Amino acid sequence: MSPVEPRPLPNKLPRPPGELEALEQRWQPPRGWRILSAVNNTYVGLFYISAALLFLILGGVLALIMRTQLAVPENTLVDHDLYNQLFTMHGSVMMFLFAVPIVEAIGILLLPAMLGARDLPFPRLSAYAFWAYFVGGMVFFMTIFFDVAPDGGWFMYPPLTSSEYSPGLRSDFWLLGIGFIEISAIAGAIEIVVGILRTRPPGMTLDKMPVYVWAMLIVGAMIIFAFPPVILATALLELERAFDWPFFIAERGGDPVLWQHLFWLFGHPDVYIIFLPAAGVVSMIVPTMARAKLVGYRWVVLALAATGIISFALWVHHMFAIGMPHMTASFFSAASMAVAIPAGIQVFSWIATLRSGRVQNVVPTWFLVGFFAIFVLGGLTGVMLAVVPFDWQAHDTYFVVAHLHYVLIGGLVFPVVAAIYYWAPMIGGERLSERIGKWAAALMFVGFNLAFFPLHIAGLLGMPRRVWTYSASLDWDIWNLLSTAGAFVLAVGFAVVFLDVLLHLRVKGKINANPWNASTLEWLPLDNYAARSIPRITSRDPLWDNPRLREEVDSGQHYLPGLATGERETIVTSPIDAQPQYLLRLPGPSWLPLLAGLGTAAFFLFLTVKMLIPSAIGGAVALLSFFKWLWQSDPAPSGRPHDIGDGIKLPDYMSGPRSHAWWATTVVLLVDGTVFACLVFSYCYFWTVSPGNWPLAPFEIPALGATLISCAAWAAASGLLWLANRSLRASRLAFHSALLAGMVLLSGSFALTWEALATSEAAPDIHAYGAVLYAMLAWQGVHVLTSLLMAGYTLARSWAGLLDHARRSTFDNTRLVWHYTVAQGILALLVTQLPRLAA
Amino acid sequence: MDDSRLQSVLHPAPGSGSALLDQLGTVMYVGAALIFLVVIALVIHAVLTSPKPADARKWVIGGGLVFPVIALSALLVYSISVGNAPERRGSDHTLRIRVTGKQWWWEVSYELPGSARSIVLANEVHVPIGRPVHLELATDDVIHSFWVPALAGKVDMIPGRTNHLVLTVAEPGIYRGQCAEYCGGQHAFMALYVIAESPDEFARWLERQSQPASMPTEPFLRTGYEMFFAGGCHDCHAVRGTPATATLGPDLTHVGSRYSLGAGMLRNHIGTMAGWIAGTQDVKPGSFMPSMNVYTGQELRALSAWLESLE
Amino acid sequence: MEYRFTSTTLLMMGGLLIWGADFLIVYTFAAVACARQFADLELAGLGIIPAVTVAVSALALVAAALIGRSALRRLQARNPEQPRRFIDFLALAVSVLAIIAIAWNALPALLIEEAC
Repeated sequence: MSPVEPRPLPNKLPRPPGELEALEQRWQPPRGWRILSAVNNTYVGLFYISAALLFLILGGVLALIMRTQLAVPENTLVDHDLYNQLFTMHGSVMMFLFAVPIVEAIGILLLPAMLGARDLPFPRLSAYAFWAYFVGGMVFFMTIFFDVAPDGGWFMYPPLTSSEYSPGLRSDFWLLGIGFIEISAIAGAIEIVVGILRTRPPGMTLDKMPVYVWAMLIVGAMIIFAFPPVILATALLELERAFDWPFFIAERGGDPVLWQHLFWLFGHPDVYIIFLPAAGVVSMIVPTMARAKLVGYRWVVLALAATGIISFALWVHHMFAIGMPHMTASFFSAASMAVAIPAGIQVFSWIATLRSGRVQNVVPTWFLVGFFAIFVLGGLTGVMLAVVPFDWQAHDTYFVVAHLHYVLIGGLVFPVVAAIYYWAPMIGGERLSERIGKWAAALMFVGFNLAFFPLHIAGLLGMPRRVWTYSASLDWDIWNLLSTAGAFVLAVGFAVVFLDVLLHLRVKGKINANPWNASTLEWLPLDNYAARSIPRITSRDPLWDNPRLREEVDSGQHYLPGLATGERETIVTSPIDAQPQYLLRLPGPSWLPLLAGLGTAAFFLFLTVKMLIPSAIGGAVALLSFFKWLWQSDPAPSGRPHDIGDGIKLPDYMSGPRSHAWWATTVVLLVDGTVFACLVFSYCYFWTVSPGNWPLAPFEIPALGATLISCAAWAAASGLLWLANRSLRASRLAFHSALLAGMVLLSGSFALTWEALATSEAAPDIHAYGAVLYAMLAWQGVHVLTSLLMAGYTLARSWAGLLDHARRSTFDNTRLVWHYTVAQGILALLVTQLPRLAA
Repeated sequence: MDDSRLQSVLHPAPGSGSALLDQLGTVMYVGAALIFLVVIALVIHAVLTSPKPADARKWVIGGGLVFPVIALSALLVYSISVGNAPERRGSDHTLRIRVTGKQWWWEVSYELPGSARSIVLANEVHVPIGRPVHLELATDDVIHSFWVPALAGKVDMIPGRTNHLVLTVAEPGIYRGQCAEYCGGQHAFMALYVIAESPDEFARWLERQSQPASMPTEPFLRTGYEMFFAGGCHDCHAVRGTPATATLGPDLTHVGSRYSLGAGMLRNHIGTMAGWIAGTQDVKPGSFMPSMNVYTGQELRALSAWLESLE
Repeated sequence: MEYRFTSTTLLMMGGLLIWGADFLIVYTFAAVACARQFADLELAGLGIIPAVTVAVSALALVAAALIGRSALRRLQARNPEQPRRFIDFLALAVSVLAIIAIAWNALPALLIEEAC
């Protein structure tokens, strides 16, 4: 410690009477069954985690049925048709309803506490995303009981899943189920990215963020770029199934391999979206268990970031057998090797940390040791699979099944269970049972290895994946029997964990616990409002470096010890160096997110089974709830600064590029832009695989004149919005007129663009060329519609007196979406003209 | 059938592409096992021993950066050289066989030497030893994957494309393969056999297969022949030399000569043939052939006997 | 001192973003060259794919090295202030990793004779 004059704490004692009571009162959670209307992260986080664990159990039961079926050869416990539904559902439920949600759920629960924030920046969005996911996910799961569960595999390769080979609703239910997870993942990404970058405690500069926070930041960023390919892929497949737009039909210019590119462009980063948070968890628990600071913090952050980026260049290693040239495949092999380096860095950082301290012999340590053994083995088989010629043999065999379970159960589930044991005292104040926990760790470790190690061998003996049974003559019996036995031992291990949680975890309001003597902020005394005051951060391990911090924070000596605005609120800070910027006022409990979530689920579900009227009702409920909820947001600035301590005075309103709303909208637009980029990729892909000229006769390139006129119209629509922006302060009439004129012109631009595309002579349901052109048009249409709704809403706010030159976030959001829409429209038109360059 | 080791990555045919891959595999299994043991030993040591200060540079850079870079660079170069083996490239001088995946069986067609004619067979690929054989891999419906582990790595069969695989087998033998890309309902029972034989035997086999079926003279077989048409088998199957020319199901011209029935499900003899015809949906539920339980026992025996006589 | 978010992020991740661009260009070029059948062309005595790969990779290596070097210089200037040092450290380490990845990425084009 350098001999610096100690700075006085941000706020002085004694605190004014009633301050704490007011804070408690404002953050009071709803009571009884009304708890379902809670929106703050502690409750939504717990709902979310519980739901994800429920899906883990459900997916696990499916796995046990499959393992029982495969225990002996030529078994007839289930038939091929049910088995195919079982493995499809098992994969989809585990990946989409358990793995991705659980990492987001843990983030929603932990992040605000680790950041000393009172809540995440968009509590209602989290609540909405949770309800849409939970209701949608449950209905999706129920399909297995009605023999309409998808049976095309969790990867859903067309043409097996196209309407020709999968008529009926099964594939549609898959596309639907994925839709919900897309919604909740994007919502989660907004919360996580904006929450981490903008609601850190003052002083928590980038170099002082806990590793878990780093991991979640990178994961949030990865979701922004990884989900769009699958959003597009599912949309295209549904368009093909519903309207016969031939994206994946080879005879009509489509290509089933495009699906594989898009799916794995999502699918591989997704593996790391799942793994990185778990790695972050490990990097939090290891130092606490070792009672030593993490060795090589900077290297671990480097490893997380590098994994996040490199993971986007691995997707083709799921496609080495499609007959691609050895050279192109090998590029992905090289990248897959590169991603092994960051994994090595983390493993050695953990080992070094364990070595540098005296390790506590407690349950989380046991699960961590199990994690090490399983994950390292899974990583090593991963390197093998990245080797192109080896993958030609191992691909789509039980070797891969073994590998992926080593990585996912080792890399995700063991850290998650460690996390449950580690953070349980943060929820309930008490540790779970040491004795039960160690039994669980032993059972799960033995069961897991018995269940999955033999499958490596079965795979190498030639057993392919996704077979409902196998012939006794192939000598795979013993390995399968062992595996089944192990699966049941593993299941018992899980049951023991859940038993422990049910017996010993009771959610409490006020918690004052740090039983492991950990170093990070989630171990401050916490209530529903998180910590009493928001700590000033000067080090990476604040609770170790300042043993008095818990006391200081809890007595209200740090920032914002009470209510400054009178409402729920948290401090917004700058993204890199965490300087306080303004107070973000947060909403309290509300039924609207629940209603909107139910409405969204009903809309899509009834649409899938083609019950149009109930679907429309669901859609209307969702839309009305959205508008009601939005109407309450963007509260008026009070105009007076609020003292949060240390002499810092903050406004309670921010618009423009510094505001959290601007950041959230930017995140959404990055998602949309990536979807659009994937559409452009699809266009170029069809062009590349097309055997002859592009576009194929009799189709044409859209007429140049009509295209340029449309571009000009789009640009003019942006110009009008620019004019509206200029006149917002000066003249309400000019503002309204410009906005209205802009709405007309934006609609007109869309009509002109449609006209321009029509000159290509291509209809969407004949050839992939037309299909991809009209897919771009449809995507643009979605944005035009959104822009119009937002502009209309802006007008309504303005007429109601809820919008002016100061209170203008609503308009700023509209502006961002509007200009983005225009840019996308022009780009799409220019893309259609690209073949002229090649001609 | 005893198929153990006929479909195993770990039991490659000598001299085949898989033998080379097996070597690569062994190097990696051993290497991975060593690395695994060392890392786990380090973890256990770190957990159990008393604290020692750990130098970030030594551990994180040495163990996490330098070592993986060296090991992976070596592996990358070595594996690229293995992958360079010529399995996936064709050459014009080799025998060409076209294998087409169908839900859930394989159509196999041979170009006849010295003529533009080709013949269509099913679920069995015969190859001569000692010379490269060029497979053209395609599909008629969904994606399948051609995989005979003892001979070569797998190659997918994708609508709209033809993929290529070159097999070289050094010694006579029989190998089993199975569809490796999930293709719906009975993906589990879409197998085939590759039979490698001497060039002479192969030439004789091909010559025999190129002949049309001869008309049965014996009354019992004659009855079987008539039952084939009476039951409507010709709506889906072809038997060259008879009026049956449909191509929905496997060509049966020489079905009696085949090693297996139902795409690798049953060893082929008269008993299994009868069982297959009468109980297809029990043996392979969901396959596109109905259970032909319209025949009397006598008729069924006659039909099976006739089919088995087509050698 | 005010930190700009976008430029700071680009600096920290610069090396790997360059690797990403390199990867994308090299892979796309090879894939399109095979699909559109111009992989047989030659450039400077090499096949067109190896030639383009070498050129693009060399450029990428230089760019990543430049980022790394400038970060190293700032670090050696002993600017004590955080998070500046942290940002520069990441920029440097990311470039080092990127250099390895770029080199590996060029290997297939050099070691594999038949491009398609």
